[in-house]
Amino acid sequence: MNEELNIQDDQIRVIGSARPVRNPGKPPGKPPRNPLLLWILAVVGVAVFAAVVLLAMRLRVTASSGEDVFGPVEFESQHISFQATVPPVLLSRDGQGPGTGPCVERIDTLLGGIPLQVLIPHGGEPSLKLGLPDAGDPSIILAAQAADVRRDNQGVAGSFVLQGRPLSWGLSEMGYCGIIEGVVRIGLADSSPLFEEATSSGGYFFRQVPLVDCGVPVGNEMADKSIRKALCDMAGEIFMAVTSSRESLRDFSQALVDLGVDNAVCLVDGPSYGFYRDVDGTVTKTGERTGVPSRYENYIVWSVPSSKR
Amino acid sequence: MKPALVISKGTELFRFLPESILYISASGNYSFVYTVDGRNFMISLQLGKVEELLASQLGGDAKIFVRIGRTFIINTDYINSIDISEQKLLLSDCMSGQSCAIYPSRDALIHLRDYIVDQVSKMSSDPDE
Repeated sequence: MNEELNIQDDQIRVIGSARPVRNPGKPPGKPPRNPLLLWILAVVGVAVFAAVVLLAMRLRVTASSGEDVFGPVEFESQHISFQATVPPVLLSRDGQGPGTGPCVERIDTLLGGIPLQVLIPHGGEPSLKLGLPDAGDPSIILAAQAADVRRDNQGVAGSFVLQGRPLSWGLSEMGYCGIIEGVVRIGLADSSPLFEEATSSGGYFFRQVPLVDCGVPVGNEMADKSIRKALCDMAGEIFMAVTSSRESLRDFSQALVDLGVDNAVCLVDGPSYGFYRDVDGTVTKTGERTGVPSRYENYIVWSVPSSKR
Repeated sequence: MKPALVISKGTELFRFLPESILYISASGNYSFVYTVDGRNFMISLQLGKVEELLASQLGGDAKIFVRIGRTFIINTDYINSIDISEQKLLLSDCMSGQSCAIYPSRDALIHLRDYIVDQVSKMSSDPDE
């Protein structure tokens, strides 16, 4: 793209003008200078230069004397996004897995400085549900808000199919999730045959912001940060990932790629309500319930099949 | 034919009169055009390309459109309210009953507000414009 058309999120530009407008009331030209700021930067620059010179002199003394004057230096880990896959740091694992009965296994990990909770449902069947799921219902092992609810008319944003019945149509986002005969499929497309398949087979379908497509982060340029939640597919295993800190969509997408996720879409982020049940039956909430729920508030839910209760 | 935003790609052609566009939003490699009648159209172009087309096809008439950050191009004729504290920009033609709220960055909203105020003061000082 033309260099002149680059724009930052805090800038505006009148279409047809070459440059972003930072201070619309002032004449175009060089940005205003703040003399005080320049003085402060100059003083800091001189101080840094002096410190570097002093350190260099001390190190020269250290090299000649053989003594370690300052001792070992430790650096704090920094939040750096890598293009290449970085090995995740496993913080904890609750040890639950297949064979322990329907439950959610939780893995806490750290990827590029982003703390993630990975919630893996074992033994439950996925579906979509309208309305608040009951955390006291022992058959529900994992619940999270799925599709966004429109702010204008409180309807579901984008195409939505509930047990074969389309409740909403439209392309709100390019990402999609289809649940056909208990199998979750996640992808990115403006038109997905899963919508028709869900309609004809009694399945489920919803649209959401795409995060990862075939192992590649999807470009999400919005810089705002929030607690992020995603539905992920890694080599056919479906799980939910939740950040423990506020992150941008871009950094979240990269962390999921670093984790090895093949495809992922957002779930409703921020403090959206949800919960999971571990092998002991303990329920942990992943968000808080605030305000009056919309009648189209919807959840992706993993529940124990009636035959296995 | 009236000046319009015309986007032709592959087998599709879209034509939008400037007064029909409420705002345009970016979504990865795609853009969505939201019209005053409540519909939205997905365009297989990045927002920067749409901006170039607006500037080249509408000429001076393109000035009603303002790009906000990397995500939005809005039609300033439909700015209904700017709420800095809620970081909300409400767009509406105030006639059809359709309105849309978008949530750009706070700094961008401040710049937009200052721009609108500046334009109003210019019009007040030079009523012939």
